[in-house]
Amino acid sequence: MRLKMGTFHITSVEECQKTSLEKGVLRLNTSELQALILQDETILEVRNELVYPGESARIVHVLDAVEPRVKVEGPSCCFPGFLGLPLTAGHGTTHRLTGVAVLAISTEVYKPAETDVLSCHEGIIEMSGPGQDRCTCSDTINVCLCLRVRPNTSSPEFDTATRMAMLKAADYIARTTVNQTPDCVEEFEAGNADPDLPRVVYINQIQSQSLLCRTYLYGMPMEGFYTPTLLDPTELLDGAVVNSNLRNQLRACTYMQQNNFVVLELFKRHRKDLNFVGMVMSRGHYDDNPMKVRSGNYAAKLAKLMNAQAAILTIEGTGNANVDYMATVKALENASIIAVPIAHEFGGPKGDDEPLFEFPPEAVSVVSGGGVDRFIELPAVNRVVGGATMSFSDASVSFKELDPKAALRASAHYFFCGFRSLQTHAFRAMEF
Amino acid sequence: MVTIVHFINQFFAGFGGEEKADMPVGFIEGPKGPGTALSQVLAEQGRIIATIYAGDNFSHEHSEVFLNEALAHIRRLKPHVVVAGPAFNSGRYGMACGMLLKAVEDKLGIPGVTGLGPDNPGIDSFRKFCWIVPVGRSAAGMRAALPEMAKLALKLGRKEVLGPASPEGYLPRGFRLNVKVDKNAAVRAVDMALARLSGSTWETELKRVKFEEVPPPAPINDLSCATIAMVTEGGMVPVGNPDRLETRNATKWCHYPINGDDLQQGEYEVWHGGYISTWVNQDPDRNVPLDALRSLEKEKFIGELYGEYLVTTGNMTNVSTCQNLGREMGGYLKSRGVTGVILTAT
Repeated sequence: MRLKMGTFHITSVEECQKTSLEKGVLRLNTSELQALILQDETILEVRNELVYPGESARIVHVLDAVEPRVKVEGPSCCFPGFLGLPLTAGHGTTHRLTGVAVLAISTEVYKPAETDVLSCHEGIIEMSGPGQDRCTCSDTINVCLCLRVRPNTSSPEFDTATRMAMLKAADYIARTTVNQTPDCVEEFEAGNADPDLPRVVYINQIQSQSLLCRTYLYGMPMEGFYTPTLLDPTELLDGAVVNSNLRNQLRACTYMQQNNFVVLELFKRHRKDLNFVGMVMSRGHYDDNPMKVRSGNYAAKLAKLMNAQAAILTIEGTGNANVDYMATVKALENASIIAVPIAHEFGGPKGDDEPLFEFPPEAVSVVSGGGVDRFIELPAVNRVVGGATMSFSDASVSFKELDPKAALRASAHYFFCGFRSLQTHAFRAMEF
Repeated sequence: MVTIVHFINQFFAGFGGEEKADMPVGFIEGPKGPGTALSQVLAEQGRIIATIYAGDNFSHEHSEVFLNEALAHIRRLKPHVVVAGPAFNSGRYGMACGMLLKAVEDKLGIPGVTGLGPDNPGIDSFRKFCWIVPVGRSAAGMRAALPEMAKLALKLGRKEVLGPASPEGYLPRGFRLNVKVDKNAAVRAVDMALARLSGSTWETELKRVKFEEVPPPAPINDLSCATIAMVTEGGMVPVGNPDRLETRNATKWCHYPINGDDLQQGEYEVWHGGYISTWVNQDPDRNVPLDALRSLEKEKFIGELYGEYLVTTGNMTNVSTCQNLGREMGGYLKSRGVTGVILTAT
């Protein structure tokens, strides 16, 4: 499948009477945008805030982030399954706005109405300073949707309403590009390369345990998947995967899946150094060992059916999911497919403890994604967006409500997409 | 200029071999033996102000005296850095170097560099406590060793923060720390995959660790006399989480009395960031199986159910913390006469 991606680079966002895009300036009629969001009765209030990279600002209570994209030619829409029928994405023409992101934020610390969901973990975005390269969407102009839901909103209603608000806003913004000529157009097509080039597959292991700790594929929760499945990487670029995982530190948010760094790297070298043959979507955190082994072997089998010679793997999750991850590595290597997993390391604040909880002898070529337990010092900030308090659920600051403007000693556990962001920002752990 | 105190054994100090191994601690102004060559390498940047020596047996058989006397000299001389050896594969010498440098760092806060051969037992014992430059097996490696040791000594003497072990030229001290490199993880992963495919050289960024094997305990001979306790990592605590058990990275465990034959819905709740707690919150016995164990107790299948349950949160916790929690829980239960545990995991 061939996907044409037209890019419009945004350099400035302004509030205006009429929503439009001209020469990199996005003008937003925020009342119109808010009216669109308030069509959903679950949303009681929405406030817009704009945050620029380089500002002394911290964003808290982020639920998800998305890059505005719209389908301008083709049978599907962006975010199929949410904004339209789940027709196959990944072909035709899509417009994207770079340099800008839409963020859904819950202004109140989200405490699930029922006790039956996983705890939500705060993940902050630092727009400047030493934390800027520890999180994602710190280098984009962020259109923040600060949302407040009606009292007694159930968790499923909360999840749906906040995500739809974000996707609708992104779609609303991206529609300004329809009938405009992009700054540049790229073409993405997997496979179809010189048969002598090495065949490489990407295995994208996501987390989907239940509501609020979930990844959606074409609008469907992936915890219903008991075997991995095959995807054209262009489908991922086209919004087929939407993330709704409020364990904010370990997730790859929707923005990160739309701009998946492994997919982009493999496409960059496609038909030059390698043949990017496709992508396997798998999930971690299966309930027992046979399920993990089955999933790992299934992923390896799909890779084999694509005649892959090597696989690059990423993980969303922690210890439990690491077992599924390594089961996949093992199955790949046993099927004579070279497996290169990118692994975030634990090992404690000092980095003197075991970096991984599962490490089979087959995992011989591992890329370090950096140590997620190491701390850095963040200075106080002038501006906070998203809420009046912040709270982290680990030992050092157990449940204390902190002043979100204050200086903070933080590890990757404290940041929005903190684990994955170490990888995208070229951090790795080394021996000292 | 960086000032250095150099420690060597009796052999390199020129007093003799095994027959002189009982020599006590001695002191010489300026460099001696390999220190003379080291001084040349240091040139204008560093100066060996004194040399301390001791016999290979003395430093072991009288380690306390050895350390006290050597430390007294160093305390008085206040060097920027201490260099010991290189000891190559010489075991006692290497151990003495490590022992001294550890003490110098701990007690005086002065950093120390030594050079040890690949088979030197001092590596395993002291790599965490001092800076060890990997050197050859014998004194034939002296010429190669000294510039590496000098480079590190000068940096430490100037209080420079050292980078990762491999480019700096010391043996890893057991820490993995974050470094920002030129290429992101995806680029490096593709590079590594292509290198492996083409048969060119590549190196994993994370070497396999071997985990401690936990052998299964021997079966309990007579369950009808056994005291059984319930332990879980499922994070189930009395409503309100009175002891603030963490939902991840737990640093503690808690113990709560059990009453009756059944844990009641609404009296307990799960504080755990890693699993769906719906079903356990509906019926806490699904995590802490009091109902089942009470019936086994009534049937006399087990002797007695211990009157508390122990709980922690198993979620993103480091291995050493887990080991400590397990050790503490085990000790606690053992001292209270518990003979077996039902451990439920989530």
